[in-house]
Amino acid sequence: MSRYCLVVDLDRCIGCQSCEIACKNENQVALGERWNKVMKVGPSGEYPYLEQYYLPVMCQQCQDAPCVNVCPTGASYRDPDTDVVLVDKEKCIGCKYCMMACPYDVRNWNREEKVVEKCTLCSQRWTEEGVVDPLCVTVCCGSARFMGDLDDPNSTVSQALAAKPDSIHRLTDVGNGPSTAYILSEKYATWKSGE
Amino acid sequence: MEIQWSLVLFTVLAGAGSWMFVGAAVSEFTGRGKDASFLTSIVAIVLIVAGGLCSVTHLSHPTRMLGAISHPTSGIAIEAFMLGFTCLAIIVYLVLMKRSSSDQARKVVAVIGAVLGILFSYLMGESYMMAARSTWNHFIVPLEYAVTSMVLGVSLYLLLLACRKENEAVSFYGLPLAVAAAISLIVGVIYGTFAGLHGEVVQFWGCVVVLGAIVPLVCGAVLMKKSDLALALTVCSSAGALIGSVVFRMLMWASGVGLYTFFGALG
Repeated sequence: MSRYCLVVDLDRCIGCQSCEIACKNENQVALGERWNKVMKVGPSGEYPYLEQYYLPVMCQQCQDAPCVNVCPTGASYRDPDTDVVLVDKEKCIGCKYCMMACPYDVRNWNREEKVVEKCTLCSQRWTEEGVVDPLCVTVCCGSARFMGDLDDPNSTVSQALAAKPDSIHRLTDVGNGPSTAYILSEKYATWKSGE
Repeated sequence: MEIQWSLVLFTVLAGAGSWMFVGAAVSEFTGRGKDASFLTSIVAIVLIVAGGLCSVTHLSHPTRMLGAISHPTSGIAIEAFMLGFTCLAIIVYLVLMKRSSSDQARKVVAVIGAVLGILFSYLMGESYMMAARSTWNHFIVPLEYAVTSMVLGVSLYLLLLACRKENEAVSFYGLPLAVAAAISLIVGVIYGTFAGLHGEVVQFWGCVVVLGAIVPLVCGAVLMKKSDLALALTVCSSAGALIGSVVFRMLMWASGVGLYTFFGALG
């Protein structure tokens, strides 16, 4: 079974928000709406020992995704080939239960279509040959973003995590098992976004 | 989090209707207020359907709701099925009454409808139990849904009996009302302690506990002795229970803060 997700190396993220803009352009995300957002964490500490990092947030591709579990119509579902959590907008009734159930508040309400959307890992870019990097990964000027299969030890995400095994963090897990991982080394900043 | 009024009204109305039918079911066994069972069942089904319609206004694409058949284990799908089954049981009960069928058959259907209604009032709250929202993710939340519905449904049932001047039956049911309100009081106090309310302390203890539980408790106790005050007391009890039910649900939404609020999409 494959487990596709994003891995973000926060040691390399400069908070330029180009991933946010690329996501909006590629997925036609309306003004005021987002599928990907760069949060600023900090500054914290006492002068002159201040620290700060940027935290890009998007769907965390949970292993036991609450959004899929609560969706009454199966609009939130797992792609049978890649196991990626996706939304079939044609099935969405707009009840917003998935938004309530998402521990990370990373689902978007499309005001025009009145349906729920979220990061799809740019699944529209995938070809018959396989999964292609989402645009946020392609445009990242710091090469901080990776996308791939966590279950494949040769994938870019597995290799990125293997390079810094002591600096791997995830958002707080309340039983949903987020797949997305963040890399943040202690020498740059202390992880403050839950564990 | 923003208060979802459609869902507040859905759970208040459907819960009250379900428990009103429980009153009709009980009357099948006690014989008190049995003459009002047809009217009670009609009012109950009207309330449940009205609640269901309120819930539909929450959806942006209700025409796609049939898709719930493809995922029947989700909370919303279970609610929809329970609403349908409860209404179906009440309709069957009404048909049996109209056709003057045997007492036994009516009792069986009444019990089935009552059990479905009680379960429905619990499951309406159970669908909010989500790990993402710590103040919702506790068994006391659906229990509070059920008990507030219970007090409101029983109060409305007794109000209906009082309007029909069946004061003796109302007085007889004063004890069940008091017991229901006492249970609601206990559950409410536990919920209030658990929910970690901050700015809403006065609304919760004043409206949910005092008006929603203590007032019906006192009304039930007085009803046992003073049947001539049936109408006034059932109006008080119903008004208190209605305020308590609505305010509890409002506060539940207001306190439903998620683990993270990255997008702020739910207000």
